[in-house]
Amino acid sequence: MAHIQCQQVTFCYPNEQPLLQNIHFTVEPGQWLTIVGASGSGKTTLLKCLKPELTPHGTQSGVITIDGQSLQTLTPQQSATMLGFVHQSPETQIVTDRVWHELAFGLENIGCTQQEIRKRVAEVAHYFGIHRYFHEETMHLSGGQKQLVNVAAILAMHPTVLLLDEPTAQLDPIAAKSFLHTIKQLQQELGLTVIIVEHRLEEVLPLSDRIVVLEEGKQLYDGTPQALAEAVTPQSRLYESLPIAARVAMSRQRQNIPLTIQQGQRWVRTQITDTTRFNEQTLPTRNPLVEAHELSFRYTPQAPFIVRNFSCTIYEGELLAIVGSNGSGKSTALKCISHLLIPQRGTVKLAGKKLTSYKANELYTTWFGILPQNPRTLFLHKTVQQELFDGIGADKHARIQQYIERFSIQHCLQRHPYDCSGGEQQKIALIKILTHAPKILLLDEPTKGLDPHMKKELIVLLKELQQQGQTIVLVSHDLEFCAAVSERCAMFFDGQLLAIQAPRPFFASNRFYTTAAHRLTYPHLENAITFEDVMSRC
Amino acid sequence: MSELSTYHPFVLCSFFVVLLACTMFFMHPVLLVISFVAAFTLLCRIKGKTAWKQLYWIVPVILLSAVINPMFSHNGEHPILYVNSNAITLEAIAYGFAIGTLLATMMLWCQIFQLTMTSDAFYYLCSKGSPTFALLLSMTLRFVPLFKMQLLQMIAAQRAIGQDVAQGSYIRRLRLAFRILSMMITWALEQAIEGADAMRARGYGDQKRTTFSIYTMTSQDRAALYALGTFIGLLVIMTLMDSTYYAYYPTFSTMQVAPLHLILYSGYALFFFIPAWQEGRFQKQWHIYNVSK
Repeated sequence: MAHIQCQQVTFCYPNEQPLLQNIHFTVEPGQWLTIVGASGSGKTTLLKCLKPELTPHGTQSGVITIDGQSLQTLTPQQSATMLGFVHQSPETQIVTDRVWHELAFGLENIGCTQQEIRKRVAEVAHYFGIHRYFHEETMHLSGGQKQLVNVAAILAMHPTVLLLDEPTAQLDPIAAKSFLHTIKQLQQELGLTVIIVEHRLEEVLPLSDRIVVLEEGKQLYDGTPQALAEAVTPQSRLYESLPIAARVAMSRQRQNIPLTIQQGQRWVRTQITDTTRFNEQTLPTRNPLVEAHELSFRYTPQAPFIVRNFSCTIYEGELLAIVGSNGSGKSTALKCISHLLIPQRGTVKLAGKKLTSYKANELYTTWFGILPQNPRTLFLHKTVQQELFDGIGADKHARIQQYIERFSIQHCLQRHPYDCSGGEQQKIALIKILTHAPKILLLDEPTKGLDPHMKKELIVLLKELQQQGQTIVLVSHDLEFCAAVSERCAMFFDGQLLAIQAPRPFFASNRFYTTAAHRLTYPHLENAITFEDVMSRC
Repeated sequence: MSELSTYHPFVLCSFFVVLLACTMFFMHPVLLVISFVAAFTLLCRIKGKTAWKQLYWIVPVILLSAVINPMFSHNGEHPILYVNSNAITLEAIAYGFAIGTLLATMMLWCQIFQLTMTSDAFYYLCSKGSPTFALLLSMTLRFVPLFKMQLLQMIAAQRAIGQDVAQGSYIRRLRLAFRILSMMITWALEQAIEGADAMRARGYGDQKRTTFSIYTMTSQDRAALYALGTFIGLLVIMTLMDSTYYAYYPTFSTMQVAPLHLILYSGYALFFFIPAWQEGRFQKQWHIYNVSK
């Protein structure tokens, strides 16, 4: 008997076109269902329709049942306990100041006794290993830990269904993988039914039992992951989200598409015959623009040095990518270079002169343009139009207008900045910074929260900017992005920069901290690092 | 933090209420001095060497009080000198000292209270009174640092595009600050909506809530409560025996030095030093443990 059943579900917001049309699928108990679609296709709305407390206002027709019982007839108690919902942002879901209280919150709401709460909280804390930071304040946890606490808090209520809305969007790749595997473990060990909306199909596709594809509110596909790879064409928007093994194989065949790297390697060994090395392009000679010499920085005298003897030369007109794991101090290094933080030791020279000899306001308008990790923190006005044009001299208006057209965000101009999507917010922030034509663009984690389509757009934009002579330095933990866009790559580890090379030798010489394309084709193809490299040999 | 934080919040709270009340209501110099010394010792035990910095404000407060009181109060039978036909009396000076000591002691006990009562303990006490208020307290403690962090991030982001809140003309800075604040409020409201959704999804609603606490009453808590009960008994006896009463005007009362009263005063002192003794005991335990490793 089906656990959750959606029959002819249609939903529309008041006074708007129908958002969801005729959604029809069934989830067996203990199955993992992934809902996939481009942004705006209605997948979050569909997920929220499955949870009565979160269903948005609007008209809904069709029937959604859980265990044969319609969602409308569930009591508040049942609805809160049977269905657990994990939101996208780890930060906003946490409402109390201590981890132990967060775990107990849901149980308090449903009126459990002191003893009952104590036992369930202990049980769940033990299962997830949270007992190590049980008394910590929630604001001191990392993103991955916060999301884990959220899941644990929901599991303490003993749900039978877990609904997850892009839970790894705000997490770095390692935390994301760890999170998804924890959910898989829950599904397998407890038999939980999991319904998840995700972009990172590379990791999620092999874990799923069924896939539902939504496009503009209509259900395009409902079946197994293997068959999905057969149903998607290279022209559809979903193609970019598929795992690299699938995309590579789809160029030659329609059946038996490999989904994981391991399956893909078998395919590559038999199907790709041309194994010549790729030529390594010589780096063009450029003038040095920023020279950082043995910078060292720590926040307090008792703390360890975050940046230690960090030396780096940034050349004019290049695109330098600094990769490293989450929390390694890459952003701090960037701030030291740009004088936002003053290093305790070391010097930085900008165009031959010391950084301290520049005035602050000209430093940040004509020399450095800094895009923060969270572009939202840049916005101060009520409309995008005001945001871009307020307080800017008329001589720069033409340039802003040009950028608006090139980044194609005309439709956002009258909206509130917070109402725009993640990719649009980033474009707006980028224009704000490019207004003053800074010589060096510093981007801090530009791919956070972006889906694959937006990432592709960003790559094109950055490459265009570099063609026009803009110097760009970006800091990221997204290896595929860095391999595709950069001219030089450097690894940040233990406070220093290691191994500054062109992307091809950089990624080709690594075995695990490298792009999926390289992991897929090594050792068959010695130095393929991007999807395009692999495709050129198919 | 402090070793005393291991006690049950109810015990801690009762202790502090009683200690503060004794300090406030009894003007007897011996009792005041006992309270002051006990508070200072405890603070030294908790904070270590830095507690001696407190003397920087304690001594001025006491001296200031001793100087100001005689200027306004001219009662007393032992005038020292006359200023504009107003008598500066010995009693007034002594009373000034007493009031100064009282103020300083109150502040010291309040500081100790802040150091030993954690937010968890506050939460527990509030939850016994009003569960809704307790949840509100917990959420405030969560959101205030979060908002502060977001505000700092916004200021830093603006600084990185050349708009510094700390430099430039006043008007420009004020406008920038207002805009940042306004956007902060928008952001906070958005957070609130999403947070409210998350709370609703976890069953927060009109039904009755229970509260969870991480504290249990231990034998050391019970022992402390017995000590407190004994002390209240002692206080009753002292009041009946007139040991607590001391007047400064019209002149000093006679100091009670009969053995009975001395015993009562020592009992009082004993109780006041219990927290300092406990704090020292735990710290010594820890020190012994460290040394023996």
